Amino acid sequence: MRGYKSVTEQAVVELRGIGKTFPLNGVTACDGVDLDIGRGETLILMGENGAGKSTLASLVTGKLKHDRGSIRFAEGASAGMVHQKPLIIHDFTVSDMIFGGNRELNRGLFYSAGKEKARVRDIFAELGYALNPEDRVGQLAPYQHQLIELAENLLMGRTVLILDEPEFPRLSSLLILLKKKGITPVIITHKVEDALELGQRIILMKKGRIVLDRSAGSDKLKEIVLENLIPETKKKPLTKQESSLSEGEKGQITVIVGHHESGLWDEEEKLARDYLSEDNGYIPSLNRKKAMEESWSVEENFMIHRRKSYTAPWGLLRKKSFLRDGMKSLEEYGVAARPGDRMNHLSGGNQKKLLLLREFQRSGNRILLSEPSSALDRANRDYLYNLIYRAKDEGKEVLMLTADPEEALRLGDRIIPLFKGTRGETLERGESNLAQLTALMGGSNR
Amino acid sequence: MIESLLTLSAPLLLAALGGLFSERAGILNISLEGLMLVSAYGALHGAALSGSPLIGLSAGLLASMILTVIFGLSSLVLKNDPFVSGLGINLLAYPLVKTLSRISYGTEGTVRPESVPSFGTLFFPVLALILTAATYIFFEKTNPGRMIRMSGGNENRLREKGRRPERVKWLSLLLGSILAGFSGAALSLPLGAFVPGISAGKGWIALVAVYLGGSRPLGILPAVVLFSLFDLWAMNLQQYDRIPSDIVLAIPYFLTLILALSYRIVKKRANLNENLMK
Amino acid sequence: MKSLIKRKGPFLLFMMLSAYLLSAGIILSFHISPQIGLKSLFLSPFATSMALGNWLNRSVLFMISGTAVVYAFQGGEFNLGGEGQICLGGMVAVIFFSFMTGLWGPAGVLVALVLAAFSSGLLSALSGYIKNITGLSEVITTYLLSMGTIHVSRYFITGPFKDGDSYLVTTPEIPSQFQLPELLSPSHLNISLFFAIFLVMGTWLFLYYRPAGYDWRLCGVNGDFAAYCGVDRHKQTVRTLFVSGAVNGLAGAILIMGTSHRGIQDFFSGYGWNGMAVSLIGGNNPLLVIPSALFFSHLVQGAERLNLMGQFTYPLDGFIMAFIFLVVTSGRLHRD
Repeated sequence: MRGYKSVTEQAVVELRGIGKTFPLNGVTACDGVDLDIGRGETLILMGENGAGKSTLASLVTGKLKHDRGSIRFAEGASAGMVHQKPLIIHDFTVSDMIFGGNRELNRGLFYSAGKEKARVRDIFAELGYALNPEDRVGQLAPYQHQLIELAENLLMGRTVLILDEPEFPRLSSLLILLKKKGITPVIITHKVEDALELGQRIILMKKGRIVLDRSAGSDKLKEIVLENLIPETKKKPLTKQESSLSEGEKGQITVIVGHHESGLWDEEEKLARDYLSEDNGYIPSLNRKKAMEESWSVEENFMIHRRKSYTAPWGLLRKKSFLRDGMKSLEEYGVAARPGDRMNHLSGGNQKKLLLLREFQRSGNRILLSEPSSALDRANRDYLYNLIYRAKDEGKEVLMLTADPEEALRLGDRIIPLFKGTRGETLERGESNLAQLTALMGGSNR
Repeated sequence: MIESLLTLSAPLLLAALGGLFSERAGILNISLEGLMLVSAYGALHGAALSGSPLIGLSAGLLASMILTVIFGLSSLVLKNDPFVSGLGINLLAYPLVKTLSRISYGTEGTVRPESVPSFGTLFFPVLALILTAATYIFFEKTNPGRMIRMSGGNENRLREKGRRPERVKWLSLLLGSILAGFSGAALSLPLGAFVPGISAGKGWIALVAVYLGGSRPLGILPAVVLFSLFDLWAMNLQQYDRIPSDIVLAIPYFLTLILALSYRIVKKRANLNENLMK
Repeated sequence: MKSLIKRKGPFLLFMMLSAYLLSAGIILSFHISPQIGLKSLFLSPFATSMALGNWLNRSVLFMISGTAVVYAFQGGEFNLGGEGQICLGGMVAVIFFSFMTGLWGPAGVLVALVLAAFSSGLLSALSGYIKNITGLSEVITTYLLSMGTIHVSRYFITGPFKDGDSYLVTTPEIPSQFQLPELLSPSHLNISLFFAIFLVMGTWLFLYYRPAGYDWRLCGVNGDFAAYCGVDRHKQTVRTLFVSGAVNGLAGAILIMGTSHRGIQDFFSGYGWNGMAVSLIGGNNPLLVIPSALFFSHLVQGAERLNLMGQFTYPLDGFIMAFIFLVVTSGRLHRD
C-alpha cells in the first residue's frame, strides 16, 4: 500500500499508513491510517472521544508531524481547520482576528484596515452570513468564532477544510456553497443525524484506526454507524452490590450522559456552584488543578476540607489525630502515599484515588462527580464504582456527569441524556439500552 | 500656564506610552521609574560631555535600553517573576546612578554641570505629542503593533500563527524602553541638572495613567493632562499658599489613587445608567 | 522541617554564595586590597561585641520586615509599600510618645505597637480594597501610598515635630521609659530579638497549623483551588495586605523604640526592600526568614563597614540587592 501511487484526479489528499505516537505519554493516537479524500466529497469523520479524530485532523493540516506513513496533496491543494472552539482574543475586531500575525495574508510593516475589512465583508457576503468586520470577537456567539476561522481559511486559499463540530446554522447550504468554490469539506461530528444527512461518505475511527468507511445511501447505514459507535462492552459482568439498607433508605445515583461537545462541562459549571455552598463532595473533571495543589503535600491536600474540624478553637491543627483517622483510610483503600509526599510525586491514578476518597468522606449528603473514571485503569475504576455504591448505601445522592454511555447504564438509577446543552427526558434504570442511549446522545429522538 | 502644563506633561506622557508598550504585550512593567532615572542621568551626562543635546538624548535612550535588556533577560529568559524583575531594575537604577555620578562628579546629590546644551522648551512636549500619534498608528495600523496586541491578548493564537511570543515581547519591551528613555531625558535636559529624586514616582503614576486611559494612546493623553493639571495646582499651592514642600510632594501620589477610584465609581454609575436605559 | 531544608536549602545556599562572590568580585575589581576589603566585608560583624550586636539587631529588624513580606507573598499579594508602612509605624510611635510622656513604660510600648500595627495595616489594606473594586493592581497602589506617606512623614520630622536643639533633621528623643532594654550594650541589640523570634514562630504556626493559615496559603498558591475550597478571595486579599502592613508597622515602631530612639529623617530607609529580599531568598518560608535575615544583614553590615572605612564608597549592598531581585524567583533556578 505504501508507495508512490500518484494522486488520482479524484483524490485531493492521500494518506498512507499514517501513525502518530505522543512521546510524552506514549499514547498512539493514530495507528496506520490509509485514506483517500476525494475532491469535492463531503467526508464525515466520527468516533468517540480519544479515537484519534483530532490528531488525524492536526496531521492533515500540518499542525502536528506524523511519525510514520505519508501524506500527499494534489497539486495546489492544502488543508485548513476550523476548530470547535477557535482561539480568540476578546477585544479584537473580526478582521484583526483574521489578519493579525498571519504571514500568508499580509506582509510588510503597515496593513490597511479598510482593505482588510472589505475583504472580510466580501467573504461573509459570499457565504451568506451577516457578520460585521468591526465587531469585537468577545461579544460574538461560538458559531461566529468558527465562522471567523472559516473565513480565514478561505482567504488563505485552503482547499480542504476540516470542520470540527461545526455549529453553523444552515450548514447544508454552506456546504453546497463551499463545494461550488471547489472546496472539499471534512466534518468531524458526534451528531449521527447530521452525519447521515450531510455526508457523502462516513468514516468511523476507533483507537487510532479506521473501522468503518461507507458511502452515504448504503444499506442500513444508520444502524451500522450506531452499532460501531457503541463502546466495546467490558467483559466483566455487572455485579449488583449487596446492601444492608432497604431500598427506601438508600440514596440514588443519577447520571447525566452526553458528549463534551454537547456542553457537558457547561453543565458541570452550573451544578458546581450549587454543590460548593455546602460540604458536599465534588470531583471536577479534567482541570485537576482546581481540586488540588500539586506542590503541596499529600496530607495538606487530603485534609483541606477538614482543616476546621481538626482544630480546637484557639489551638493548632491536630495533624497527628487527623493522620491517625485520615491516613488510615487511605491505607485501607490502598492509596500508596505517605503524608509528607508531594502531590505531584504521586501517580495520576493515586492522585485521583486520593481525591475520590477525600470527596466521598465529606459530611454533606450530595456528591457531584464529573467524569470521575477518566484517567483511571480497570482496577481503579472498580474501586471508584465501589465508592459510589457505598455512598449510595449510606444514603447519599450521587450525581455523575459522563461521556460514556456504558458507564451511565452500569451505575445510573436514573439517566438523563444531554444533547446540545439541553437535558432530555429522564430514563429510569432498565428503561434504556446502549444502542438507544448512544442514539440519544447523538441527537436522535426516542 | 499652557507652556508649563505642556512641559510638565511631556515626561509623564512619554513614560505612560512606554508603559503602554509592555502593558499591551501583557507585562505590567514596574521598572519604568528606574528606566526614567537612568535615562535622565544618562541624557544629562551625555549632553554635558558632548555638548550636543542629541547625543545626550541618545545616551539616555541607550541607558534605558540596557536596563531593559537586563529586565528581559531576567523575566523572559530566566523566567523570573516580572514584578520582582521590575523591582530589581528599579533597585539597580538607584545605586547605578549614585555610583556613576560619584565617579564623574564626585557627588551623590544634585548634579549641575556648568553648561548643558538643551533643546527648545517645546521640544519634548511636541515630541511627546508626535510619539502619542505614532504609538496610536503603530498599534492600530502596523503588523508588529497588532502582533504585540495579540501577545497580550492570547499568546497561543500567536503561536498558532507560527510566531514566537517571546520575540514579540522583546520587541515591545525595547520599544517601550525607548519611550521611557525619552521621558527620562525630558526630565533632566530642560532642567540642566540631575536631582536624585528627579523621577518622583512618575514611572508609577504613568502606570496608573495607562490604566485610566484604558491601555489606549488616545485615552492616556487626557489622563496625563489631568494628572499634570493637579501637579500644577500643587506647585501653585507651594508657591503662593506656603504649603510645606513635603506635603506638596505627597499630593500626586494620593491624588493619583483618588482619581483612579473616582473614575471607577463614575464609570460604574455610567454602566448602571446604561443598563437601566436598555 | 527536614523536607523544608532539603527543598529550599540548596537555593538559599546558592543565593548566599553567589551574593558573596559577587560582592567580593565587585570589591576586588575596584582594586581594593583584598585583605582589607574582604576582611571588613566578611569579618567586621564579628570584630567587636558592638558590631556583633548591631548585626544581630539589624537581623531582627530584617526578620520582622521579612515576615511582613512572607505574609503578603504567601497570600498571593505583592506588597511594595514596605518602606512607607515601616515609616508610618515609626511615626505613629514617635507622635504617640510625644504626647504621652508620663505614661508607664510597658503600657506605652504596648499601645504604641498596637497603634503602629493598626495604622500601617490600614494603609496597606486600602490597596487591597482598591484592587477589589477597581482592579488596579496592588503592585502599583501599595507603592504609591507608601511614597505619599513617606513625604508626609518628612513634613512631620522637618516641621511640627522637629527637635530644634539637634543639628540633625530629627524629632526629639522618645522618653527613656519607652526605649527597649538593651541586651548587648553598647550595641543596639534589644529585647525585640525575642519578639522577632516569637513572631517568626507564630507566623509559621499560623500559616501551617491554623485553618485560617490554610486559607491564606491557598489563595497564594492556587486561586481556583481556593475558590473550590470555599475561600472568599476578595476578603482574603484585604486581610493579607492588612496583616502584611501591620507587621511592617510593628517593624517601624520597634525601629524607633529599640534602635534610633527618635524619628531621624529616613530612619526607615532600606528596611522595606531588604525585608522583601530576605523573604524572597528564603522562598517566602516563615522559618527560613531567620537564616536569610542573618545572611542579608551580614552583607549589608559589611558593605556599610567598607563605606565607613572610606575604602569603598559605592552602594555595594544596593547592587547585591538588585542582583538578588533579578534572579531570585527565576523559574530556571527552582526545581519545583
